[in-house]
Amino acid sequence: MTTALLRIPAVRLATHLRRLGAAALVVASVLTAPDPARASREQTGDDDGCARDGADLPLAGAHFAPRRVEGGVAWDARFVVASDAASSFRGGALRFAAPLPAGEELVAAPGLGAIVEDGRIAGLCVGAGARSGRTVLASFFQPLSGDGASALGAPIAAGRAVQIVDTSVGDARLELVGAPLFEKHVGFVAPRAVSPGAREEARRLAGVREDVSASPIYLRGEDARGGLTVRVVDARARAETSAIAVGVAFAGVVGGLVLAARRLRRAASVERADALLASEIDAAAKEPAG
Amino acid sequence: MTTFVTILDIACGRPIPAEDSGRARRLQLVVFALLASLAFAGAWGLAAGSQAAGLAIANLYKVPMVILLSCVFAAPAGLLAWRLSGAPVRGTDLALGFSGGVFGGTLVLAVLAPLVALYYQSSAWAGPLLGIGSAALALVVGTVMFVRGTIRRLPPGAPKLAALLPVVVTLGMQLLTLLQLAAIAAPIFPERTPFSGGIDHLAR
Repeated sequence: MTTALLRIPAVRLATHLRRLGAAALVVASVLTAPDPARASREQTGDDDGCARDGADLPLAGAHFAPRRVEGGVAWDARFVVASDAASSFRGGALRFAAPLPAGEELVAAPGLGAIVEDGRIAGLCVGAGARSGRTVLASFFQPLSGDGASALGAPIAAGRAVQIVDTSVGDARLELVGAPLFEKHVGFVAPRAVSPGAREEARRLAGVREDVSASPIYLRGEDARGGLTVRVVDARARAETSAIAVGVAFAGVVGGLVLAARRLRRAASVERADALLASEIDAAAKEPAG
Repeated sequence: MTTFVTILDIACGRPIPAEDSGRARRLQLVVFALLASLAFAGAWGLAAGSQAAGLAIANLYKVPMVILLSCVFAAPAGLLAWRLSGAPVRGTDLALGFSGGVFGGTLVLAVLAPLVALYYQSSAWAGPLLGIGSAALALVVGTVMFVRGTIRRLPPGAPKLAALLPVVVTLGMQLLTLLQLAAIAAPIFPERTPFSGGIDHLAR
């Protein structure tokens, strides 16, 4: 009993000492951190392109395709490096126009690392190993809980390169909300400043085929600087709403036809009887008398 | 039964008997033809969805709905084209020809319904093929009956081309509305078809 009572303060003392030690370690690590910016970086790849070079990656174009996955949307990004920089490419930082939505994660890939600022991915560290020709491929996972409005999770790069965001996610479609700069056209959405030539060039660079039914978003980094909001519009749900209206219209038309059939019945039978009578009178008149 | 036979005769392009040529009687025949088409379409819908009870019951109203609303949406355009083109055909003749075409097309669906149901129950690939095939055949038959019925009722010596304009407009409108109404009403078949997603999927 006495031993047990003595053991409680001893355990408490050990806990306090461990907490003190951990706090000392945190203070020491903050004091000895060489560069706050580097400390915020979270490297997931095997090649620290940002650390070695530090230069920003010059971009010519990009394409982002969303995919529905369990618990959210996966963004498959294809960044196309500018042709003059491709030959001397040794890695660099790819800054995004706006930090990605909270909770969005980079899917680990060789040569790629996320630049994290305030808990959100603000760019990519691209190592030489991540490049294939002029292309850098990366995937992100954006958790989505419902079908309401949410931040666009496409990793749109900063700068003036025209980038393409696909909006078809299975049967659903992403629609921009509260983006007055963007104009909706047949087959695409883009700010007025993005010319048809720029769109064509962006498609050529990203290897994207024109598709009138896809309605992709063409934009530059500066168009998405403040972040963009999208709404997930489920085509199936929209069709169901239309189906209710169509069903009501159908019931109305059938009711109208039944009513018309009832009303026409008497008039039609009178017409028919008159016509039959007239034909009988004609036939009788034609018969020779006697 | 007399009315059914009369509608069938008219749909086949036979001349309208004198006792049935009054305005009210013609409109009555149009209404009967459309109401009968609903029953025929329902029978085919039941067969096309016979793999699942829920789908079969839903198709009982979905298929008639698609056909009837496509007629309702196409008719105003056809009537306008008829007025503007000055087609040498009576309005009720055009309406009779149209409803006769719908009647004939849906009758094709109804007579093929047992075959569609049988193949859906017994074959993995022939059922869907027959389903889409029977719908295409019904469209062709309906179109032929509409065109033939309208042309045969033209006064002697009247230009056929002018009479065909409202027919073409009506058929075009009906095809376009059918496409989207079928997408809204999808699924009609147990499988996803090229028409399940409407014009967006076809354009891809």
